[in-house]
Amino acid sequence: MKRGKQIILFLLLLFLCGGYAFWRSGLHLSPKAAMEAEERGLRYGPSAEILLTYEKEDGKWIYVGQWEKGLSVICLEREWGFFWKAASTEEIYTRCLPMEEPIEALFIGESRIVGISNLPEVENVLCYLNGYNEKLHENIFLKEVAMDTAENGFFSAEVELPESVNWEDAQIGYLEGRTENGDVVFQEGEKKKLAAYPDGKGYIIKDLETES
Amino acid sequence: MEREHFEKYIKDVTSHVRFRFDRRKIAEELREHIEDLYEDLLSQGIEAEQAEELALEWMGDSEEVGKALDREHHPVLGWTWLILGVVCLAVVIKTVFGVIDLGKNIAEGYFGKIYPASAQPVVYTISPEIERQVYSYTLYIDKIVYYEDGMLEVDYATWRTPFSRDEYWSFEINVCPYVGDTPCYEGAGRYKDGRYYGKGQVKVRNVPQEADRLQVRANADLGNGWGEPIEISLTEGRVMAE
Repeated sequence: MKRGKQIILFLLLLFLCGGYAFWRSGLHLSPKAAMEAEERGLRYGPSAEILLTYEKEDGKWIYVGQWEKGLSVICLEREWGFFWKAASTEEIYTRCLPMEEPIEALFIGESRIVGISNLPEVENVLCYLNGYNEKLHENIFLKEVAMDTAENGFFSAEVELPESVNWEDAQIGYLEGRTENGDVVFQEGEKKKLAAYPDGKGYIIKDLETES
Repeated sequence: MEREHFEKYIKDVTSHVRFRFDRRKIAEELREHIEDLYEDLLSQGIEAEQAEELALEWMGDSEEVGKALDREHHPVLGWTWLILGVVCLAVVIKTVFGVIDLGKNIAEGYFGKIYPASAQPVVYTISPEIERQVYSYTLYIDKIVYYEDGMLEVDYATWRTPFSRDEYWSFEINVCPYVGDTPCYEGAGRYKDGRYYGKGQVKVRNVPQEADRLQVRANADLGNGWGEPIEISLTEGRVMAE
């Protein structure tokens, strides 16, 4: 066979094998495609709309999408500059949040609360963030966060936790949906602001909500 | 004697070929050609010395022939061919090993064994033969076995096409038997093998014999309570053990 023909054959084989390798590599040309592959692999979604994207300090990206039944949070990373793939070891960020209540929210780690409201009258959402204290075996109040809902019901806020708090132990303890007039139309969880005070022998736990 | 002249001629010709990897092959072809010519001339009764001169004369000027062969075996084309060939060979070998590994993985899953969930005698067996598509997976619910000690075993298999671009996450089902509307779930373990073709089993203990339906969920790993459950009757299709 002539050398020119052999070169064409080599190129064809490289194209076929390269295409097969790329197909199986988990790399995608867009973050949306990588997100969809991850969601479908987890057997939900895929998200119809991307609601929020942000870059983490380590260069990985968080994509928050809305799928038929709720929210989807997927951690993605860039590969070789122009490909995207699901971040393999970041399960703690990758979550799906099915809507079991009219308003659901999720603390997605390090710095952000995201949620969605299916109640059109709700314009503002109040959230108490608690952190589990292993010594006290109690969820201690960390922060109160108020968020406005967008037209599609989505809400989110950045949260700065004290350095002493392990964000993996943080969770949403109470969620409240309010109308424009401030009427509370939805409540979930216990509206408590538990705080621990040393009393010499140990700690006293007080509910700042009832005390105020 | 003639060999020396021939070899010198061949060396002169190949020295003009810049793509070194082709020189040996060209030399072999030239040698064969010259010797054929030489033998032909000898067979016609021409003297050896004259035949040698004529053979070389007929071959042409070594520089001209060499330059013509260099054009034919151009180094750009030659290096492109060589590098692409080596890369192609490596890629094809890697792909072949990948495909073999894939086949092995599928075969291991297919021939994997499912063990009885209990050592107690079987009360009844149901073969629901249910097949459902769950994203890139096909779920097959093969067999439900109920034992005398109240253990209920659900044997299933999943097939995930190797051509799927969906990320791989293990796929296990959840089952819950019901007596009427009352769930009677007490998990007793589960396992699942295989990345592409996989066999799995879910065990539930202390299931009353009057349990009349089984709910199977093939939910997302990170979410619960969504997706249409698969309902299987535990009263129809029972094959009672003898």
